[in-house]
Amino acid sequence: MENIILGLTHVLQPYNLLICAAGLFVGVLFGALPGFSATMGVAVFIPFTYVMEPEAAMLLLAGIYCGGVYGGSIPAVLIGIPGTPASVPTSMEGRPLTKRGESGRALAMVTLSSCTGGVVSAFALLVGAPLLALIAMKVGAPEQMMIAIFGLSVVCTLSFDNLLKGLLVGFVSLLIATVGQDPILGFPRFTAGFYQLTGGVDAVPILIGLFSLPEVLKMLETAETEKGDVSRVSKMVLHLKDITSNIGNFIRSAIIGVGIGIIPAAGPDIASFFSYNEARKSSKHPEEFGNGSMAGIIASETANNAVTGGSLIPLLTLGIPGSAPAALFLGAMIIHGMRPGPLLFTQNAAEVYTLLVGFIVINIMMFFVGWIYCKASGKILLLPKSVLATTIVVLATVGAFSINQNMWDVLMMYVAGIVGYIMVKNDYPLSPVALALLLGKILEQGLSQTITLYSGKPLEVLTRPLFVVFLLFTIFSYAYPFIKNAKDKKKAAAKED
Amino acid sequence: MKTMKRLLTMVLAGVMVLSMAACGSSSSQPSQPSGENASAGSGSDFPKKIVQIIVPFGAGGGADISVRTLAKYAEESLGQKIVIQNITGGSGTVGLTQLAGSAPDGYTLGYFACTNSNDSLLFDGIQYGVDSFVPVVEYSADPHIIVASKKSGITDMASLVEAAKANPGELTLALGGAWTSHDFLRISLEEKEGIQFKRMVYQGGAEAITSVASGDVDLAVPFVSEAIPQIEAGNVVPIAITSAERFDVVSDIPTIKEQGVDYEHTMWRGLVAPTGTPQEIVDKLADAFEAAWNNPEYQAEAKEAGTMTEFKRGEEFEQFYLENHETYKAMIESGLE
Repeated sequence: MENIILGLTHVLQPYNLLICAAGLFVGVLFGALPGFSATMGVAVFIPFTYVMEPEAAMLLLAGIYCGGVYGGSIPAVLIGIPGTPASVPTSMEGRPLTKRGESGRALAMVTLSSCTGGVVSAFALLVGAPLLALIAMKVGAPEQMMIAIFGLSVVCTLSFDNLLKGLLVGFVSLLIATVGQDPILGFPRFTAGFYQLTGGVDAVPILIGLFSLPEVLKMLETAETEKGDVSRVSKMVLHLKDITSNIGNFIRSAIIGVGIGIIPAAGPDIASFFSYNEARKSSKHPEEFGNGSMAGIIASETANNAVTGGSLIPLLTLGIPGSAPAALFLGAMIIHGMRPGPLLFTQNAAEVYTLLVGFIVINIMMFFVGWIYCKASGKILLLPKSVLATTIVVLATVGAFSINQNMWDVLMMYVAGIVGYIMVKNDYPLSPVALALLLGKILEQGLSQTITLYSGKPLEVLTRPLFVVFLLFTIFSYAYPFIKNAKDKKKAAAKED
Repeated sequence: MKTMKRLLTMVLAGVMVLSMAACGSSSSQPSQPSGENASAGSGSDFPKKIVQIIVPFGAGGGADISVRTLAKYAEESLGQKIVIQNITGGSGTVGLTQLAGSAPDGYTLGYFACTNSNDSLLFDGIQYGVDSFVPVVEYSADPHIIVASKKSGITDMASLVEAAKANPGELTLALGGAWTSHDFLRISLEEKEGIQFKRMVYQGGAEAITSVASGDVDLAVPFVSEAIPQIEAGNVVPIAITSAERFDVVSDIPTIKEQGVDYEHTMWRGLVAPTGTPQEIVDKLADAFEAAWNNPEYQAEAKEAGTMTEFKRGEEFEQFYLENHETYKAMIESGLE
């Protein structure tokens, strides 16, 4: 408690509050520009933090991180291009709402959901970190493998009507995820002699290309005939009914987000897909999903921002980064002489509690910063398509290059974009690619480690309580569509009688 | 509203300029030096402009932090700015390929560690080899700490070897990655003691030691900075440090040699320049880095980050560089069988 008050007094210093706000403004911008991401924002600003006070440095990075995860959903709603992969589900629901002239309602809800998710995760981090660290430590290779298998079941949900095409895309993407060094033996596979592929196919440039270029090409198809499909930006309003009818959704999504955050290797992108999937399954109106469902937006946005706090738990308590930006945090902390681990909370109490309390303040502040951005960015709908399309291509190119400063990634981005356009034209869903590329590596590594650990005694793996829990979830997740189908048939039959 | 819009536009423009500058510097720099090659040849007025160091791994990682710490102090003695370029991808091979193709004028250096001269054996399509680089300085040699899980009952080297011999190929060893310094430690230790471990490969040393802390795996060999938190928290049992002498930060952990096994293993880090860089310039660079390395503030900062400082330059480092290449080549070839 003493430490919390100490942290609070640090955060509330005007200079530190200013740093939080600056971080948010930068972060939202990085998130909102297609091709740019929270990770990139944190990476760009890390060298600046070397010369700052440790507390201010942590707050700046936290602001960029939270803002970046949030910012990705602004272009997702307005133009259907997710600023970051974590906003892909948001784009599937937000874009139809914008077309109906309800962009303001969607953006307001995005902002509220993101803040809710962020604040919940910040409290989880502040209050439950030591306890949740125990869970994080229990997540070993078998658990990670099970989560990846569970996650792949989401492919079925994302395929909507065309299950076969969705599964095909997911399967091919899983194969692509195996390109590069074998995680155990270390030899390169399927690289066709390209040394650039030694480390595997980097998911980030692929996803940039896949989710921005097809939209650009679609814009160009009609560039001369239409000015824009939305002529008016609607007012930013929160509908009370949208909130009250989704209380359960908020809670579930926040828990999923924090949970995924704790698990090393799974980040905000995976959390938003999971949460979206669960929301659709438990929705009374699943047919609304894909056509502008408010519940879908809430699920995706609450969960991806709830990851932010969650992913700092394994980082602070075990020194394991739970997401790519968290890995950058680790570097910044070491530079400032803080060594993440079980003793961090006592050895560096002042810095840590400033960060933890700051996380809450940042997420509350994000609501206002976000609101300002949303109001201003609505205007991009009025831009001529030619200008918008060109800007997006430039941003995507710069973004793909700046991750690794490597021209190969730019090439990969364009290839992915063209393939994506062909897929969209032929009604192949794009989201399973994201899921399979992100989960493929976790799955392969988890599987081979589990086999090494339990070779010759496969049933002993069932002595791990968390593994069993995840196993049951997975079985249910795969069986659910069949159960539901059977129920629906029964109902239909009963009606006919 | 209007001012807000104007503000946002300005911020946007700022970010664009920033990112353009970041990209511009990396794409234009390699081409610039070639034009000034003739004058750089003499080396008497070196350095006339910014020196860049290519780090083939991400900002904030172990390699990046170690280079930045040294570069910060070297700027003063060099009399020029040093810019770190994180050119990542391809498990570090993309950045080194770019370094090998850079103009040999001393304005482009690169981070190099013990395994890199053998990358062409490990990966497909690598054009560079041991001859593509001139060693400039070695500035650190990081020891590993061997740790055991509490469950395993292993408390020192003797009981480790005993347990490994009693269950050949059954004792699990968590590594931070395939073909990393962790893996080479395993190969050489197995050879030395005539034992065999079961490999468990993780993404990084922190994940590896956590698997030991949770009891899933018996042993791990993380670097000092990765090991300290779990050792201090009492979640793992420290067995030995792999350097020749004890390390200040963890001075109560004995070396392997003290426990009667004649074995040591460290991961050295250094800076190299493309082959063809004039000797005079290499010497000047080495002078600057040596002065930085001797700065007590640098020493303190490096120790805090968990690196054991060791310095080699000139003929000593050149010879070590070539010997090291042969040692690792032999280990890789034995591993490939």
